[in-house]
Amino acid sequence: MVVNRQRMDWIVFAIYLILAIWSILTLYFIEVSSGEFTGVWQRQAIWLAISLVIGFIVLMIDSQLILSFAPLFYAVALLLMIAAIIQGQVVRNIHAWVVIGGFRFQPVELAKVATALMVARWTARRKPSAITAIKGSIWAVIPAVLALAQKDWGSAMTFAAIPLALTYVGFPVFLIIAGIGLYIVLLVVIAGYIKLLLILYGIALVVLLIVFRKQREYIKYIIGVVLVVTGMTLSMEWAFTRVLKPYQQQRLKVLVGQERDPRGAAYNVIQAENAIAYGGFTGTGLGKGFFTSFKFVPEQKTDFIFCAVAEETGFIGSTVLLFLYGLLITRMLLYVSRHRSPVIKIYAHSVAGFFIIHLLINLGMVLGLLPVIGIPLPLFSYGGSQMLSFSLMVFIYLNFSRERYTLLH
Amino acid sequence: MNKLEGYSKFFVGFSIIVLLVLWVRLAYIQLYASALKERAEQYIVEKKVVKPPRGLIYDRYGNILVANEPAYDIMVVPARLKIEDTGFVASLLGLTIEEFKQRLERARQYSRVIASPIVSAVHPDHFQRVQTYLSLIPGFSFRKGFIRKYYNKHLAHVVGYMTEVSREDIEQDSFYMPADFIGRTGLEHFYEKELRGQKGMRYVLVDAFGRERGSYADGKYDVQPVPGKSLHISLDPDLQSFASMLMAGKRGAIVAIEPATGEILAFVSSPEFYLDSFWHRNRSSYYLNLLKRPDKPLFNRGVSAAYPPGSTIKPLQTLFGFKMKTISYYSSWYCPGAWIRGSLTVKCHGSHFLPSPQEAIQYSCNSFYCELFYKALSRYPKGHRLALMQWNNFLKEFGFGRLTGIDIRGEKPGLVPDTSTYDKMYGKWWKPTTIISLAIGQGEWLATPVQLAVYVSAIANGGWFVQPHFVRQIDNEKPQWEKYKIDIPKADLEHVITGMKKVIESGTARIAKIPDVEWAGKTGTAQNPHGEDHSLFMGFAPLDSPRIAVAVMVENGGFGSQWAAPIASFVVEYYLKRTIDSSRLWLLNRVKQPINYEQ
Repeated sequence: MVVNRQRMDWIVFAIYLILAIWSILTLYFIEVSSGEFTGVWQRQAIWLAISLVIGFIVLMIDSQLILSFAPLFYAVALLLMIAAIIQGQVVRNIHAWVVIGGFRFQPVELAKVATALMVARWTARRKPSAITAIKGSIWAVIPAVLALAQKDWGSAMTFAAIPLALTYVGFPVFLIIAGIGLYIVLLVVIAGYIKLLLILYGIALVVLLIVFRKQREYIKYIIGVVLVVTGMTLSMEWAFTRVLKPYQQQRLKVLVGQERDPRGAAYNVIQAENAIAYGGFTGTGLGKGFFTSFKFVPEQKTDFIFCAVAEETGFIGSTVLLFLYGLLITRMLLYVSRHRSPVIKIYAHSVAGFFIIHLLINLGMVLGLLPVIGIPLPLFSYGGSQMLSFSLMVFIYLNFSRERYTLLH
Repeated sequence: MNKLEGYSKFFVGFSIIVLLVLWVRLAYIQLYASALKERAEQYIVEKKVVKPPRGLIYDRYGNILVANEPAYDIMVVPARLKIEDTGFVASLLGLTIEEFKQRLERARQYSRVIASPIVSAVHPDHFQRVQTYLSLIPGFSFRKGFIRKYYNKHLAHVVGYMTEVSREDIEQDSFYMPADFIGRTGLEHFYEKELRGQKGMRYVLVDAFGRERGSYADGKYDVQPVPGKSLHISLDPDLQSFASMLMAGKRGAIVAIEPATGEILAFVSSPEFYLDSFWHRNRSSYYLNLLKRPDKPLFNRGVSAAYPPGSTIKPLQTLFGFKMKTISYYSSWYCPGAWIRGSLTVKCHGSHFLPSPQEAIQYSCNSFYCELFYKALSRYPKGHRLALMQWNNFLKEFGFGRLTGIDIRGEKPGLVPDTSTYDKMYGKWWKPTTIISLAIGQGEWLATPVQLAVYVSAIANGGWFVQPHFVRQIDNEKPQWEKYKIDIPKADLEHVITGMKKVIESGTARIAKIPDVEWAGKTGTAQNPHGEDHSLFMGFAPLDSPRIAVAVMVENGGFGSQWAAPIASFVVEYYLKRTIDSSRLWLLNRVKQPINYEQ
């Protein structure tokens, strides 16, 4: 058998390196501007070095072998998550850390890689259909539920990447749109604007009835859908106000940014917005960020790292950063679109999914569009677990990217 | 094999929309929200904690007992600090140079650019002087805070003192931040969560010089502090001062309870200390001195000191005798001046001719109680183990050997020995004669003054008592206090109370007689192997409808009648009549004398 090897996707590798090095530089300049050197950028550099070493090992492994190990990998990741729940360390009220050999890491990050592999392998062996896609999503539901048990809302939400990716094999798009709609409705209900919502439903009903007044057969569906949606909204309202205890309500309200959190979630957002605005078009210059230097944005080295980029390099820098992420995502999908193995294509979709969902939640929070939920900016925020798992995802992708003509399963 | 072509168009569309939305928002903030940007250029938003005022404490008549006084925290921004004369600044703040450097380092660790307190709760008198100098030095700023103001000088062991929080406090409870104060003893400790309130948060605009320039977004995000809850306590402040005066120069405790409610009217542990000094500039040296003093002023003798209760428990032993049927109302034994069994001799105060149970209380006859207790224990052959357990349970019903649940810190349970206590000491080979000293309240039996007060209020009430407490009301809420019922015949109790009445009429505590007041009590002497015995007394008044039950303990005071009984009588007389009869003034003058502990 002739093995047709193709060149690796060097562009993705280049983008990966640029992002990781940019992250280290950003951390370095945060330390320069605040005048406090705590060894953060050096540690991030060490993490990158470790990631590269592991990455090159991954590149040397046979692609089929990686796929064969997917179930084992998946099981180990889930077991580690369970171990973290049972006797892990609690950091920032999240029960998600395990310590192995002096290193502390979050197994949920590992579970993301494992899930992407597992879903790709399982789905690629079946006929593409809505049913296959929905069944395949169950592999993502399990780690998501475990993450919820760790009180890690942010990580649980990132597993939405899998259904999004599986639209490729036929995951019903309307379910995703309905899911997004439901989330928005939930936010609105918690925020206490239920009356406004009901008025909107009324208007929508009237408009639809007018538009479809000629097609009588649609009218009962329209009324049905509006009734179901209204019912769901009302029951959400009921569950929120009657079933949940006041402190639980409070917590949810803080989560959607409705309640002013005395611990300062509002403060984070205010300071982040100011820092970004202060950057302007060209930015303050590296190591000269005013807000960055005075450490006004909490978590500016981890979840809110985008603020430092936006302040010090301005609109230009942050646009380039956004563009790089966009390029990374689309390049992955396009590059493997002509590959022979479906498993590679599904895997690429899953990895791209994790990237876009992370961007949405993290930047949505930093830019004040979404509630404050702490998850890292991929390959950029300070932190070893995040760096390792996204590196692993990318390098496995790079490994697969060479197998254009072989059929993996 | 399935066919999958290209890529998911929905996915790509979704990604592009997400990125576009984020990009547009970014552009809006960075390019078009110019007002936002201007504000950002001129000011920064700082988050400032607003401390709530601590809950007030009122006395039994609704008058203020503990309030707050404005004080100041001196804040420092390490990055802006320019000090020329460190020694002068440190002395101005009441610190040594080392302490000052330490605190500056702590502030630097917290943040170089955000103000954090270096010295907190500076008294307003002192603050004026500090302010004139420090306002000239860049980097210092001031914040309003509170200190406690006490309207009665004798609250040290009731209200308790407060100190700055330690690192552990901060780790355990996220409420606290460096330089906060926390209640360490007394009510301040027990009701810390109620008294402290909830902190508020203010978002303020600060200019480049660190000066406040108004509130952010018109205070839209501010969180108002919630003041701490007020405590309404049962203390009678005049009685408290009077009782403290009686104990001046002595070591010991007075606990006075209203029997029907369990409310504490007066609570003195002597020697006292001054709560005001805990808010002064040199509070730490004051505290260290208190720790070093040999008379241990910080030790709360009212709840933490356990002594043998001595003869004060003879009424209780009488009740036990009735319950076990070892004596009747008419039993008596001849007391030749000692109780002798084999080689064992327990001395009595004199020779008593055939004392009845009432007379045994009246004259505190040791022989009678040794005989009673010996008979109770040796009622059945080898039944002393069972009998001791019965006795133990009986005592626990009266509140001995367990925590009374008083609402201040540091209560000790005392000890009522049971079979295991003696098994540990003697193996299985102990006999009724081994433990006979329990009969007269000596030996291993230990009780605190508050337990004695609870026990006498149970007798006064006729067989029940309420958990002793200070707090009647927290804001408008009435806390529930436990009520304990004791299964004991009324007639037995009345018989014993008559005996206790005779103690004062013509018994061991004749000296405690109060004109126009009929009352009952019992003296006691706790044997002290290290020196002079401790003087004890417990009693209640008036006899028909008791309004006050009191227990007094004077360390090294000798017999109960010497110090404790007269002191108790003055507490009772003052509470009931608000004056002291002129015929007793000579005694008051004698009792006010200090005890010389040097010898």
